[in-house]
Amino acid sequence: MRSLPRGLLFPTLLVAASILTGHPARGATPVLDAMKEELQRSVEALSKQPTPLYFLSYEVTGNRRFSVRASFGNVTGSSEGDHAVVDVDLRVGSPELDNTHSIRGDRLSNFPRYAYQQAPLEDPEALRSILWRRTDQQYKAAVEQLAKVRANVQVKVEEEDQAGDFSAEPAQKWLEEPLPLDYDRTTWEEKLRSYTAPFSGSGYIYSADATLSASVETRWYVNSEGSEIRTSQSYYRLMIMAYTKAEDGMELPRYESFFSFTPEGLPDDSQILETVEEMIADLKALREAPLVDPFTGPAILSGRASGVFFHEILGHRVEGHRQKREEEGQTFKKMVNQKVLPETFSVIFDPTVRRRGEMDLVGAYRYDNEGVKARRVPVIEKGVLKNFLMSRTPVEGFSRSNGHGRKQSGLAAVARQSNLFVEVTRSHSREELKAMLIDSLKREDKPFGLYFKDVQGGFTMTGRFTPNSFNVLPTLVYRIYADGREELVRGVDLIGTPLTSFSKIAAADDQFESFNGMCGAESGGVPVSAVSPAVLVSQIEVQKKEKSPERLPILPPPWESP
Amino acid sequence: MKRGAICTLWITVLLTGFPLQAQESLLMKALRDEMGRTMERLQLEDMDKPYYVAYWVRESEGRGSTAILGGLLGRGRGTGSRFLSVELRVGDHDLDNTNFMDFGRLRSRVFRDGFPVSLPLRDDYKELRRQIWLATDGAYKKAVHSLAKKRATLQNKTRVEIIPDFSREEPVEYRDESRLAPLPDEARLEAVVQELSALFKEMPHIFDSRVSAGVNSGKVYFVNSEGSSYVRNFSSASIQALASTQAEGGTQLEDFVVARGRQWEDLPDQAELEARIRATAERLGRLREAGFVERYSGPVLFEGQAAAELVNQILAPRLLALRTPIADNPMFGRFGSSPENPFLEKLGSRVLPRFLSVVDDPTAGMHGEAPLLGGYEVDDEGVRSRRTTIVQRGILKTLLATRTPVSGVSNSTGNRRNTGPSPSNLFLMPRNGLKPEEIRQELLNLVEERGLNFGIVVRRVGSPEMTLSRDRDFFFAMPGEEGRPKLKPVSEAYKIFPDGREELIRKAVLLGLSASSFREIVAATDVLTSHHTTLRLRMNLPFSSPGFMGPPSVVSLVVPSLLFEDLALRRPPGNIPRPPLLAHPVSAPRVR
Repeated sequence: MRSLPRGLLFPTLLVAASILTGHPARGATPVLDAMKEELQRSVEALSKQPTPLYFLSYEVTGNRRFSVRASFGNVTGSSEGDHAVVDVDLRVGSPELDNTHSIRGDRLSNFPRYAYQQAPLEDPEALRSILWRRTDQQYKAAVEQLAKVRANVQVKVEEEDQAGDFSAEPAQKWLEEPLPLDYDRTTWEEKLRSYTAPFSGSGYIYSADATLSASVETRWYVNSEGSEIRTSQSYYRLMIMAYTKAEDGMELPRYESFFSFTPEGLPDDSQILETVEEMIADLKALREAPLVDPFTGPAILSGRASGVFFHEILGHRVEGHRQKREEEGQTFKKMVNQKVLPETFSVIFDPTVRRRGEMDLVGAYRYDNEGVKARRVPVIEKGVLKNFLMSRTPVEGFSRSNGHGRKQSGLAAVARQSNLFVEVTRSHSREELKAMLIDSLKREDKPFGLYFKDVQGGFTMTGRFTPNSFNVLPTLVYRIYADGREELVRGVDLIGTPLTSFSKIAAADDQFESFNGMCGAESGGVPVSAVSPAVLVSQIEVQKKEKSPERLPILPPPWESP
Repeated sequence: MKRGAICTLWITVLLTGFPLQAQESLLMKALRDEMGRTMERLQLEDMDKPYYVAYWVRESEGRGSTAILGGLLGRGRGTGSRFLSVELRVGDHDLDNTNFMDFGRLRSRVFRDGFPVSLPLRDDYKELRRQIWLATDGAYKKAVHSLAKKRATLQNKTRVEIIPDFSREEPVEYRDESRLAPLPDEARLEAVVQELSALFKEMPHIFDSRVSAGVNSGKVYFVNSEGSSYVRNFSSASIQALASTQAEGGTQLEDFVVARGRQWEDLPDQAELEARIRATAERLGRLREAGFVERYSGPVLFEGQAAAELVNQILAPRLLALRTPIADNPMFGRFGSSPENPFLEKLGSRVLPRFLSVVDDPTAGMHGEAPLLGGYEVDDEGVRSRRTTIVQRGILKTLLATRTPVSGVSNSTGNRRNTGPSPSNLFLMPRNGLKPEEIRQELLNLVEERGLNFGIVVRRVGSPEMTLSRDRDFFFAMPGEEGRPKLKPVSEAYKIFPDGREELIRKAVLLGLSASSFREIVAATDVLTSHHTTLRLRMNLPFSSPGFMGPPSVVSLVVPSLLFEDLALRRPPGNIPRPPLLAHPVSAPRVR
């Protein structure tokens, strides 16, 4: 694969990971102890092998979860449970050249391998036996891979980026108590029934589902450098999705999602029911809304749309490892210390911020999946590119991790985004932004501009073979006419290429919005957030949205025509 | 879980001969009402109307638990589920939208063809109707499109043999009046798997192990437009223990213990399971030390589980009337469907020795003292179950069929289980069978006749569903089923010498074994053993066969020991992975 589509695929719910029951007493760390013992035993023995191991880490991700699903006023299922998964990172060779080094010209060899291994948490001996088997398998695979890496380095031309394979990082010690999962099944079932019941009156709404996913993720991490970490984080997410279909077959979704680290942080029933009523009205309006043809012109992206826009065009292109892999487009690699945005704009990634305004940010964490402490990373300062998001894979000029090595259990960590913040030193009111758009319409003699009010997510391709482009998938788009009138439209996706799109960013307003979602890439799904004001882009391009060719239901709803 | 409670099952069902509408649930009413509207009014202009609609609703609840070395691999609990499946046919019995490999899918998030639809868990009539309406609409659109494509494909073909697409069968009304026993608490399952899996802590030579327990039960509601309907209960329970190790040279050795029943209470008690697990682990230990048989060609005797798995893996798939669908793209067609069953050409021919017959009997409840688990009163598409003689004195009489006819089998034998035909309780019955000691002597006679030093007795064979190697790096795992059924490696076999002495063989595979090898059986015992398993077939779904999807069906096999005159056996081919570099962390101090 030259490049994987990656992006905020918002409809994918927070993918649960897991946790143990019967938490250890405060101070007792049986899981960590078992991990440490097995780690030590493995390091001692495998360091003496002909191809010695130089680094080993174990990560156990426990997830306790609860979920309820409802549709049109009825519960369709609920479940609760817990499980845990182990990950082993094992390296042979040296930090300069090890088994994780990319093998050039052999795409299959670099394709992410998924190694999912469940583990028992309540019995240290059982956990150790799983770690033992996993370590043995990975050691053998690593030795084999290192030989291939060495051959590849000798056979191919010199690499563009000469940085090593693994950065030196200080050992970390941090112990958090595992959090409880707070839920009452009956209450949530009743809530979800009430949230989805209003959709029931509409024969033109063909699916209307609400899901509550609550989980606590507890992670234990140890490595051969002496790190010992236990973190615990709870997640409560409510998602409401409804679909209708237009006469021409186009399927029109509305999504709403609410996220908080605590159950109390979710909006109350009246707020949610208000949102549901808006969704119903939007769906009705969307069915009647006119189609927009492919178009270029000015547009306002709401804070949520803009957050996803920055996530796709910038975020994925400043992920450190992409500056190293030779199949990557490396849009920004040579632009460090150059101006890439208006000087009023800065972009910061900061996993240490847990809340902005009224919203918790799902991309927050204390340690990344390589045991590196999370930190604030200003990537663009006053319009100038300053930094990349770094895992422990160095690139030239950036030899250390900045705590962005992330992954889903079963995959290897790479540099990934956390909480993205678009900050501006000069902002306008929403009205001023709209006025600026109208001015440009008049100047350029355009009939209308577009306002992207809400989006479901997006994706981008960062490779060299595929077009280096992005899509943002809007759910609510309005035409803004020169007379100030706004009209709901449908049928378009926002597309573009990174450098051109960046050069068209003109101004921002003062209303920050947050987008919480799951981002998928080669290291799996990780929770991310994007916080941004609305921005005015002097020129965007839209293309036709993918459309269902299926007709509307042939018979009317049963209750209208029994 | 206790012994002795096994005969309570299966007798509580009741056949009713009167219409059920009077007492039926809102769910059945919703199904019937939408079905009525569908048959009467669902039609796209200038296109065919449905001529047949069937609905299944599967309500189920399950619990499961797995542990490794005494530690639980998580916990899980759900409210259960209720899923609707639709089968809708347009055209007529002779030519309809089915038996056609249509790779086209409805491109829609709203209508999902071919897959079960989640229904409200409570009987909300309006919302049940909404889901049934939308699912039927999608099924209809898919059906008319498929039929048009099928007709177009057939336009340019001369059909050598015209076989109808759907058989006509007597409508049946049936209601299972038995009460579903409540499922055991998770805690009971958890305690059992923890205790049983902890046994392996004392077994340093076992590298990987796991013990799982699962129970589930529920109801299937069925109604079709021909007037058939049923409400049928189902329940199952199982415990399985898997263990694997490597011999000094690296050979991977694996075996399992499995117990199945209709209910938790039917399963053997813990002491018995413990004993079976210990025996299996102890055998794996001996296998590590045992020698290989490099190559062997000669008589082979299959006993007990090995004979049953042999029948299950090699013969049973050939006894099914699986129709090869027409494909609009022949290249893709080969991908998605199982190849033609060679037994279709053998109806009326000899497929087994004259002393063997094969009978499928879903009406049988017991074999001697042992319960059979494959039975039912009506099959999944509402055809009454019956006893079917498949092979009579070696001659293939028919195949087990659904309502999808094949050449030579024009009607259902009441064997639709899940998405296709499947055996229920399959009996391989010998005439004038030998006593166990006689068949062993017969084996030795053959050995002597062939001038061999020893013969081979196979007692256990691996099972496709019982393996620990599954959850390894599966990103690139390819589907394992090949066109031709292949027997899993032999996990317990012995050299048997003329003096009666037995010597364990480490691991072996049988070469060139196929259903036609069964004609070479030279003797069978009069003692039959029963064995439960699941039959996993490569289905033509989701491209060509609409309808009901549930978990794999349990099949009970009742088979004698089987003596083959000439089979080839060898040590497993291929390179052998190295054994672990470090000793087992739990048992290490005790072994080294």
